Amino acid sequence: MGLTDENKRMISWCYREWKKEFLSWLGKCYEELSREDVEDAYQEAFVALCENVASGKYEKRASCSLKTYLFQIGINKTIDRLREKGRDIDVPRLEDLLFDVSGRDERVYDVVARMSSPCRDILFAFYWDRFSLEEIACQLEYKDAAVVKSQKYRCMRKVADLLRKMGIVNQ
Amino acid sequence: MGLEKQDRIDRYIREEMTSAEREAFERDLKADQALSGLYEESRLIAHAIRDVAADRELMAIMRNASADEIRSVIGKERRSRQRWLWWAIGSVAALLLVAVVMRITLYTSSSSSQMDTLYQAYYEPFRMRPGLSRGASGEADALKEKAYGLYMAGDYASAAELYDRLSPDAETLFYAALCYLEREKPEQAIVRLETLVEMGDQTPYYQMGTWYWAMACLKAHQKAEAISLLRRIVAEDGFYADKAAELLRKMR
Repeated sequence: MGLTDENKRMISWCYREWKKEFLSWLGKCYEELSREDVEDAYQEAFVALCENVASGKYEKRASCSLKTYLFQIGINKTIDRLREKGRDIDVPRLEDLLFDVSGRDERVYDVVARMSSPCRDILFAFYWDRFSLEEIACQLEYKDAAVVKSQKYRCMRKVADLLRKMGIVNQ
Repeated sequence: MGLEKQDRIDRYIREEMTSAEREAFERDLKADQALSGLYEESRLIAHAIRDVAADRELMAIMRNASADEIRSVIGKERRSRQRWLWWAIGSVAALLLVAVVMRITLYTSSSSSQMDTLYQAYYEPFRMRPGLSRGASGEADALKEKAYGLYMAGDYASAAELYDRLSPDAETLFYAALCYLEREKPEQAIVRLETLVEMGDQTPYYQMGTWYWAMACLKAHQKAEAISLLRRIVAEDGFYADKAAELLRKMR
Protein backbone atom coordinates (compact mmCIF):
# COMPACT_ATOMS: atom_id res chain seq x y z
CA MET A 1 0.00 0.00 0.00
CA GLY A 2 2.90 2.40 0.72
CA LEU A 3 3.41 5.32 3.07
CA THR A 4 1.53 8.57 2.78
CA ASP A 5 3.35 11.82 3.53
CA GLU A 6 1.59 11.90 6.91
CA ASN A 7 2.81 8.37 7.65
CA LYS A 8 6.36 9.29 6.71
CA ARG A 9 6.23 12.31 9.01
CA MET A 10 5.07 10.14 11.90
CA ILE A 11 7.78 7.51 11.32
CA SER A 12 10.39 10.19 10.97
CA TRP A 13 9.24 12.01 14.11
CA CYS A 14 9.27 8.80 16.19
CA TYR A 15 12.69 7.89 14.85
CA ARG A 16 14.17 11.25 15.79
CA GLU A 17 12.49 11.59 19.21
CA TRP A 18 13.29 8.05 20.31
CA LYS A 19 16.86 8.38 18.99
CA LYS A 20 17.45 11.41 21.21
CA GLU A 21 16.20 9.47 24.25
CA PHE A 22 18.13 6.34 23.35
CA LEU A 23 21.42 8.17 22.88
CA SER A 24 20.92 10.12 26.07
CA TRP A 25 19.89 7.04 28.09
CA LEU A 26 22.68 4.77 26.87
CA GLY A 27 25.24 7.55 26.89
CA LYS A 28 24.53 8.33 30.55
CA CYS A 29 25.01 4.70 31.52
CA TYR A 30 27.96 4.05 29.29
CA GLU A 31 30.14 7.07 28.59
CA GLU A 32 32.84 4.97 26.93
CA LEU A 33 30.59 3.95 24.02
CA SER A 34 31.27 5.93 20.86
CA ARG A 35 28.37 7.95 19.48
CA GLU A 36 28.84 6.27 16.09
CA ASP A 37 28.48 2.79 17.68
CA VAL A 38 25.29 3.77 19.44
CA GLU A 39 23.80 5.59 16.42
CA ASP A 40 24.47 2.63 14.12
CA ALA A 41 23.00 0.20 16.65
CA TYR A 42 19.93 2.42 17.03
CA GLN A 43 19.37 2.60 13.28
CA GLU A 44 19.59 -1.18 12.94
CA ALA A 45 17.25 -1.53 15.89
CA PHE A 46 14.65 0.77 14.34
CA VAL A 47 14.60 -1.22 11.10
CA ALA A 48 14.38 -4.44 13.13
CA LEU A 49 11.47 -2.97 15.09
CA CYS A 50 9.54 -2.26 11.89
CA GLU A 51 10.28 -5.75 10.57
CA ASN A 52 9.14 -7.37 13.81
CA VAL A 53 5.91 -5.36 13.80
CA ALA A 54 5.24 -6.30 10.17
CA SER A 55 5.97 -10.00 10.82
CA GLY A 56 3.87 -10.13 13.99
CA LYS A 57 6.86 -10.98 16.16
CA TYR A 58 6.42 -7.90 18.35
CA GLU A 59 2.84 -8.76 19.23
CA LYS A 60 3.70 -12.38 19.94
CA ARG A 61 6.59 -11.73 22.27
CA ALA A 62 6.27 -8.31 23.84
CA SER A 63 3.86 -6.72 26.22
CA CYS A 64 5.61 -3.40 26.35
CA SER A 65 5.44 -0.19 24.38
CA LEU A 66 7.08 0.10 20.98
CA LYS A 67 9.66 2.44 22.45
CA THR A 68 10.65 0.03 25.20
CA TYR A 69 10.82 -2.82 22.69
CA LEU A 70 12.99 -0.64 20.44
CA PHE A 71 15.33 0.16 23.32
CA GLN A 72 15.62 -3.55 24.14
CA ILE A 73 16.56 -4.33 20.54
CA GLY A 74 18.94 -1.37 20.59
CA ILE A 75 20.76 -2.74 23.63
CA ASN A 76 21.13 -6.13 21.96
CA LYS A 77 22.40 -4.53 18.76
CA THR A 78 24.91 -2.53 20.78
CA ILE A 79 26.14 -5.67 22.53
CA ASP A 80 26.46 -7.50 19.18
CA ARG A 81 28.32 -4.61 17.62
CA LEU A 82 30.76 -4.35 20.50
CA ARG A 83 31.42 -8.11 20.47
CA GLU A 84 32.09 -7.99 16.71
CA LYS A 85 34.63 -5.26 17.29
CA GLY A 86 36.24 -7.20 20.11
CA ARG A 87 35.72 -4.23 22.37
CA ASP A 88 36.59 -4.67 25.99
CA ILE A 89 33.34 -3.64 27.61
CA ASP A 90 31.30 -4.83 30.55
CA VAL A 91 28.62 -6.75 28.63
CA PRO A 92 26.78 -8.06 31.74
CA ARG A 93 26.27 -4.45 32.79
CA LEU A 94 24.77 -3.62 29.42
CA GLU A 95 22.52 -6.66 29.67
CA ASP A 96 21.40 -5.49 33.11
CA LEU A 97 20.14 -2.31 31.45
CA LEU A 98 17.54 -4.43 29.69
CA PHE A 99 15.88 -5.06 33.04
CA ASP A 100 15.89 -1.37 33.88
CA VAL A 101 13.84 -0.46 30.82
CA SER A 102 10.51 -1.61 32.20
CA GLY A 103 9.28 0.66 34.93
CA ARG A 104 5.90 1.40 36.45
CA ASP A 105 4.64 3.10 33.27
CA GLU A 106 5.33 -0.04 31.23
CA ARG A 107 3.31 -2.15 33.66
CA VAL A 108 0.40 0.24 33.40
CA TYR A 109 0.82 0.09 29.60
CA ASP A 110 0.54 -3.69 29.72
CA VAL A 111 -2.64 -3.59 31.80
CA VAL A 112 -4.24 -0.96 29.56
CA ALA A 113 -3.28 -2.88 26.40
CA ARG A 114 -5.21 -5.88 27.78
CA MET A 115 -8.45 -3.99 28.27
CA SER A 116 -11.44 -5.39 26.47
CA SER A 117 -14.72 -3.90 25.29
CA PRO A 118 -16.70 -2.00 26.42
CA CYS A 119 -14.13 -0.37 28.73
CA ARG A 120 -11.50 -0.20 26.01
CA ASP A 121 -13.90 1.47 23.58
CA ILE A 122 -15.13 4.06 26.07
CA LEU A 123 -11.79 4.97 27.62
CA PHE A 124 -9.92 5.14 24.33
CA ALA A 125 -12.68 7.27 22.79
CA PHE A 126 -12.50 9.61 25.77
CA TYR A 127 -8.77 9.94 26.46
CA TRP A 128 -7.28 9.35 22.99
CA ASP A 129 -9.92 10.41 20.48
CA ARG A 130 -11.08 13.10 22.95
CA PHE A 131 -14.75 12.66 22.10
CA SER A 132 -17.31 14.20 24.43
CA LEU A 133 -19.56 11.97 26.51
CA GLU A 134 -22.44 12.83 24.21
CA GLU A 135 -20.46 11.82 21.12
CA ILE A 136 -19.41 8.55 22.78
CA ALA A 137 -23.03 7.82 23.75
CA CYS A 138 -24.03 8.31 20.13
CA GLN A 139 -21.17 6.27 18.64
CA LEU A 140 -21.39 3.36 21.07
CA GLU A 141 -25.18 3.44 21.25
CA TYR A 142 -25.58 4.21 24.94
CA LYS A 143 -28.78 5.83 26.20
CA ASP A 144 -27.17 9.18 27.02
CA ALA A 145 -24.03 10.94 28.30
CA ALA A 146 -24.92 10.18 31.92
CA VAL A 147 -24.79 6.44 31.25
CA VAL A 148 -21.42 6.80 29.50
CA LYS A 149 -20.10 8.88 32.41
CA SER A 150 -21.13 6.20 34.88
CA GLN A 151 -19.72 3.38 32.76
CA LYS A 152 -16.47 5.29 32.21
CA TYR A 153 -16.09 5.79 35.95
CA ARG A 154 -16.74 2.08 36.54
CA CYS A 155 -14.12 1.17 33.94
CA MET A 156 -11.50 3.52 35.42
CA ARG A 157 -12.11 2.06 38.89
CA LYS A 158 -11.69 -1.47 37.56
CA VAL A 159 -8.36 -0.68 35.98
CA ALA A 160 -7.20 1.31 39.02
CA ASP A 161 -8.29 -1.49 41.32
CA LEU A 162 -6.20 -3.98 39.36
CA LEU A 163 -3.21 -1.63 39.39
CA ARG A 164 -3.52 -1.30 43.17
CA LYS A 165 -3.87 -5.06 43.71
CA MET A 166 -0.81 -5.60 41.52
CA GLY A 167 1.11 -3.06 43.59
CA ILE A 168 1.65 -0.82 40.56
CA VAL A 169 0.02 2.12 42.37
CA ASN A 170 -0.26 2.63 46.10
CA GLN A 171 -3.17 1.15 48.00
CA MET B 1 -19.03 12.11 44.91
CA GLY B 2 -16.57 9.81 43.12
CA LEU B 3 -18.17 10.57 39.75
CA GLU B 4 -17.88 14.32 40.28
CA LYS B 5 -14.24 14.08 41.41
CA GLN B 6 -13.48 11.95 38.34
CA ASP B 7 -15.25 14.48 36.17
CA ARG B 8 -13.08 17.28 37.54
CA ILE B 9 -9.91 15.21 37.12
CA ASP B 10 -10.84 14.43 33.52
CA ARG B 11 -11.38 18.09 32.73
CA TYR B 12 -7.92 18.81 34.11
CA ILE B 13 -6.29 15.92 32.19
CA ARG B 14 -8.02 16.97 28.98
CA GLU B 15 -6.98 20.60 29.55
CA GLU B 16 -10.58 21.80 29.47
CA MET B 17 -10.31 24.02 32.55
CA THR B 18 -9.95 27.76 32.66
CA SER B 19 -6.75 28.99 34.32
CA ALA B 20 -8.72 29.90 37.48
CA GLU B 21 -10.22 26.39 37.62
CA ARG B 22 -6.80 24.86 37.03
CA GLU B 23 -5.22 26.82 39.87
CA ALA B 24 -8.07 25.87 42.21
CA PHE B 25 -7.74 22.22 41.24
CA GLU B 26 -3.98 22.23 41.79
CA ARG B 27 -4.51 23.79 45.24
CA ASP B 28 -7.04 21.08 46.07
CA LEU B 29 -4.62 18.39 44.88
CA LYS B 30 -2.13 19.51 47.49
CA ALA B 31 -4.73 19.64 50.25
CA ASP B 32 -6.85 16.56 49.49
CA GLN B 33 -4.98 13.24 49.63
CA ALA B 34 -7.92 11.24 48.29
CA LEU B 35 -8.24 13.54 45.29
CA SER B 36 -4.50 13.41 44.73
CA GLY B 37 -4.54 9.58 44.76
CA LEU B 38 -7.46 9.44 42.36
CA TYR B 39 -5.76 11.96 40.07
CA GLU B 40 -2.48 10.01 40.03
CA GLU B 41 -4.28 6.80 39.06
CA SER B 42 -6.28 8.58 36.36
CA ARG B 43 -3.22 10.34 35.00
CA LEU B 44 -1.29 7.05 34.72
CA ILE B 45 -4.18 5.29 33.00
CA ALA B 46 -4.87 8.18 30.60
CA HIS B 47 -1.16 8.42 29.76
CA ALA B 48 -1.00 4.67 29.09
CA ILE B 49 -4.11 4.84 26.90
CA ARG B 50 -2.44 7.50 24.77
CA ASP B 51 0.77 5.44 24.51
CA VAL B 52 -1.13 2.28 23.56
CA ALA B 53 -3.28 4.11 21.02
CA ALA B 54 -0.30 5.92 19.49
CA ASP B 55 1.62 2.67 19.24
CA ARG B 56 -1.31 0.97 17.52
CA GLU B 57 -1.48 3.73 14.93
CA LEU B 58 2.26 3.52 14.40
CA MET B 59 2.06 -0.26 14.06
CA ALA B 60 -0.62 0.09 11.39
CA ILE B 61 1.70 2.39 9.47
CA MET B 62 4.66 0.02 9.87
CA ARG B 63 2.61 -2.93 8.60
CA ASN B 64 1.83 -0.99 5.43
CA ALA B 65 5.43 0.02 4.81
CA SER B 66 8.08 -1.87 2.93
CA ALA B 67 11.57 -2.13 4.38
CA ASP B 68 12.86 0.12 1.59
CA GLU B 69 10.36 2.83 2.46
CA ILE B 70 11.33 2.71 6.13
CA ARG B 71 15.00 2.97 5.24
CA SER B 72 14.41 5.84 2.88
CA VAL B 73 12.53 7.67 5.62
CA ILE B 74 15.27 7.14 8.19
CA GLY B 75 17.98 7.75 5.64
CA LYS B 76 20.11 4.69 5.24
CA GLU B 77 20.16 1.96 2.66
CA ARG B 78 20.85 -1.66 3.17
CA ARG B 79 19.01 -3.02 0.15
CA SER B 80 20.53 -6.39 -0.53
CA ARG B 81 20.48 -7.58 3.10
CA GLN B 82 16.95 -6.26 3.62
CA ARG B 83 15.60 -7.90 0.44
CA TRP B 84 16.84 -11.27 1.60
CA LEU B 85 15.37 -10.68 5.03
CA TRP B 86 11.93 -9.72 3.64
CA TRP B 87 12.00 -12.80 1.43
CA ALA B 88 12.71 -14.95 4.50
CA ILE B 89 10.03 -13.22 6.57
CA GLY B 90 7.55 -13.57 3.70
CA SER B 91 8.27 -17.29 3.42
CA VAL B 92 7.82 -17.84 7.16
CA ALA B 93 4.60 -15.79 7.15
CA ALA B 94 3.24 -17.86 4.24
CA LEU B 95 4.06 -21.10 6.05
CA LEU B 96 2.41 -19.82 9.23
CA LEU B 97 -0.70 -18.85 7.29
CA VAL B 98 -0.95 -22.35 5.80
CA ALA B 99 -0.53 -23.86 9.27
CA VAL B 100 -3.25 -21.61 10.72
CA VAL B 101 -5.69 -22.42 7.91
CA MET B 102 -5.02 -26.13 8.32
CA ARG B 103 -5.52 -25.86 12.07
CA ILE B 104 -8.80 -24.03 11.66
CA THR B 105 -9.98 -26.61 9.08
CA LEU B 106 -9.07 -29.55 11.27
CA TYR B 107 -10.54 -28.16 14.49
CA THR B 108 -13.94 -26.80 13.62
CA SER B 109 -16.31 -29.63 14.51
CA SER B 110 -15.95 -30.85 18.07
CA SER B 111 -16.40 -29.33 21.53
CA SER B 112 -12.71 -29.92 22.22
CA SER B 113 -11.81 -28.16 19.04
CA GLN B 114 -14.13 -25.29 20.00
CA MET B 115 -12.23 -24.93 23.27
CA ASP B 116 -8.93 -25.05 21.42
CA THR B 117 -10.11 -22.35 19.05
CA LEU B 118 -11.34 -20.16 21.90
CA TYR B 119 -8.11 -20.71 23.79
CA GLN B 120 -6.11 -19.59 20.75
CA ALA B 121 -8.30 -16.54 20.40
CA TYR B 122 -8.30 -15.46 24.04
CA TYR B 123 -4.98 -16.59 25.44
CA GLU B 124 -2.38 -13.84 25.60
CA PRO B 125 1.14 -14.49 26.81
CA PHE B 126 1.84 -12.58 30.01
CA ARG B 127 5.06 -10.64 29.94
CA MET B 128 4.64 -8.02 32.64
CA ARG B 129 7.63 -7.72 34.87
CA PRO B 130 6.72 -8.61 38.45
CA GLY B 131 7.20 -5.91 40.99
CA LEU B 132 5.68 -7.40 44.09
CA SER B 133 6.64 -9.79 46.84
CA ARG B 134 10.12 -8.35 47.10
CA GLY B 135 12.19 -7.73 50.13
CA ALA B 136 11.79 -11.03 51.95
CA SER B 137 15.38 -12.04 51.36
CA GLY B 138 18.04 -10.96 48.91
CA GLU B 139 18.64 -14.53 47.79
CA ALA B 140 14.97 -15.25 47.08
CA ASP B 141 14.68 -12.02 45.10
CA ALA B 142 17.75 -12.88 43.04
CA LEU B 143 16.31 -16.32 42.24
CA LYS B 144 13.00 -14.76 41.25
CA GLU B 145 14.83 -12.36 38.92
CA LYS B 146 16.68 -15.28 37.41
CA ALA B 147 13.47 -17.27 36.99
CA TYR B 148 11.76 -14.31 35.33
CA GLY B 149 14.72 -13.89 33.00
CA LEU B 150 14.45 -17.56 31.97
CA TYR B 151 10.71 -17.12 31.48
CA MET B 152 11.17 -14.07 29.25
CA ALA B 153 13.86 -15.89 27.27
CA GLY B 154 11.36 -18.68 26.55
CA ASP B 155 13.15 -21.30 28.63
CA TYR B 156 9.93 -22.32 30.34
CA ALA B 157 11.21 -25.67 31.60
CA SER B 158 14.09 -24.10 33.52
CA ALA B 159 11.93 -21.20 34.70
CA ALA B 160 9.23 -23.56 35.99
CA GLU B 161 11.79 -25.66 37.79
CA LEU B 162 13.21 -22.60 39.50
CA TYR B 163 9.81 -21.14 40.42
CA ASP B 164 8.74 -24.49 41.86
CA ARG B 165 11.81 -24.55 44.09
CA LEU B 166 10.99 -21.14 45.55
CA SER B 167 8.61 -20.58 48.44
CA PRO B 168 5.08 -20.61 46.95
CA ASP B 169 3.83 -17.04 47.01
CA ALA B 170 1.47 -15.34 44.55
CA GLU B 171 4.24 -14.39 42.16
CA THR B 172 5.99 -17.76 42.01
CA LEU B 173 2.73 -19.69 41.69
CA PHE B 174 1.48 -17.39 38.94
CA TYR B 175 4.60 -17.42 36.81
CA ALA B 176 5.17 -21.14 37.35
CA ALA B 177 1.62 -21.74 36.09
CA LEU B 178 2.31 -19.59 33.02
CA CYS B 179 5.42 -21.65 32.30
CA TYR B 180 3.33 -24.83 32.32
CA LEU B 181 0.73 -23.25 30.08
CA GLU B 182 3.41 -22.25 27.60
CA ARG B 183 4.72 -25.83 27.79
CA GLU B 184 1.25 -27.17 26.94
CA LYS B 185 0.82 -28.70 30.41
CA PRO B 186 -2.40 -27.04 31.56
CA GLU B 187 -3.09 -29.53 34.36
CA GLN B 188 0.13 -28.44 36.06
CA ALA B 189 -0.86 -24.82 35.58
CA ILE B 190 -4.31 -25.47 37.07
CA VAL B 191 -2.87 -26.88 40.30
CA ARG B 192 -0.78 -23.77 40.87
CA LEU B 193 -3.44 -21.26 39.83
CA GLU B 194 -6.01 -22.89 42.08
CA THR B 195 -3.64 -22.53 45.04
CA LEU B 196 -3.01 -18.88 44.11
CA VAL B 197 -6.70 -18.02 43.82
CA GLU B 198 -7.47 -19.75 47.11
CA MET B 199 -5.19 -17.22 48.79
CA GLY B 200 -8.06 -14.76 48.39
CA ASP B 201 -9.04 -11.74 46.35
CA GLN B 202 -6.68 -9.35 48.11
CA THR B 203 -3.76 -11.37 46.83
CA PRO B 204 -1.78 -9.75 44.05
CA TYR B 205 -2.37 -11.66 40.79
CA TYR B 206 -5.80 -12.82 42.04
CA GLN B 207 -7.65 -11.43 39.03
CA MET B 208 -4.95 -12.49 36.57
CA GLY B 209 -4.77 -15.88 38.30
CA THR B 210 -8.50 -16.53 37.96
CA TRP B 211 -8.49 -15.54 34.29
CA TYR B 212 -5.50 -17.74 33.43
CA TRP B 213 -7.03 -20.57 35.46
CA ALA B 214 -10.04 -20.35 33.14
CA MET B 215 -7.65 -20.33 30.18
CA ALA B 216 -5.88 -23.43 31.54
CA CYS B 217 -9.23 -25.21 31.90
CA LEU B 218 -10.01 -24.37 28.27
CA LYS B 219 -6.65 -25.73 27.24
CA ALA B 220 -7.26 -28.90 29.26
CA HIS B 221 -10.74 -29.25 27.71
CA GLN B 222 -12.36 -28.92 31.14
CA LYS B 223 -15.40 -27.07 29.83
CA ALA B 224 -17.57 -27.13 32.93
CA GLU B 225 -14.72 -25.82 35.09
CA ALA B 226 -13.90 -23.12 32.57
CA ILE B 227 -17.52 -21.97 32.44
CA SER B 228 -17.75 -21.92 36.24
CA LEU B 229 -14.62 -19.79 36.50
CA LEU B 230 -15.74 -17.42 33.78
CA ARG B 231 -19.07 -16.95 35.57
CA ARG B 232 -17.17 -16.19 38.76
CA ILE B 233 -15.03 -13.61 36.95
CA VAL B 234 -18.17 -11.97 35.57
CA ALA B 235 -19.84 -11.95 38.99
CA GLU B 236 -16.80 -10.37 40.64
CA ASP B 237 -16.93 -7.63 38.00
CA GLY B 238 -13.19 -7.10 37.91
CA PHE B 239 -10.77 -6.28 35.13
CA TYR B 240 -11.53 -9.41 33.09
CA ALA B 241 -15.30 -9.39 33.57
CA ASP B 242 -16.18 -8.07 30.13
CA LYS B 243 -13.80 -10.43 28.37
CA ALA B 244 -15.12 -13.37 30.41
CA ALA B 245 -18.69 -12.48 29.52
CA GLU B 246 -17.79 -12.34 25.84
CA LEU B 247 -16.07 -15.72 26.04
CA LEU B 248 -19.02 -17.26 27.90
CA ARG B 249 -21.40 -16.18 25.12
CA LYS B 250 -19.22 -17.99 22.61
CA MET B 251 -19.14 -21.16 24.69
CA ARG B 252 -22.89 -21.58 24.82
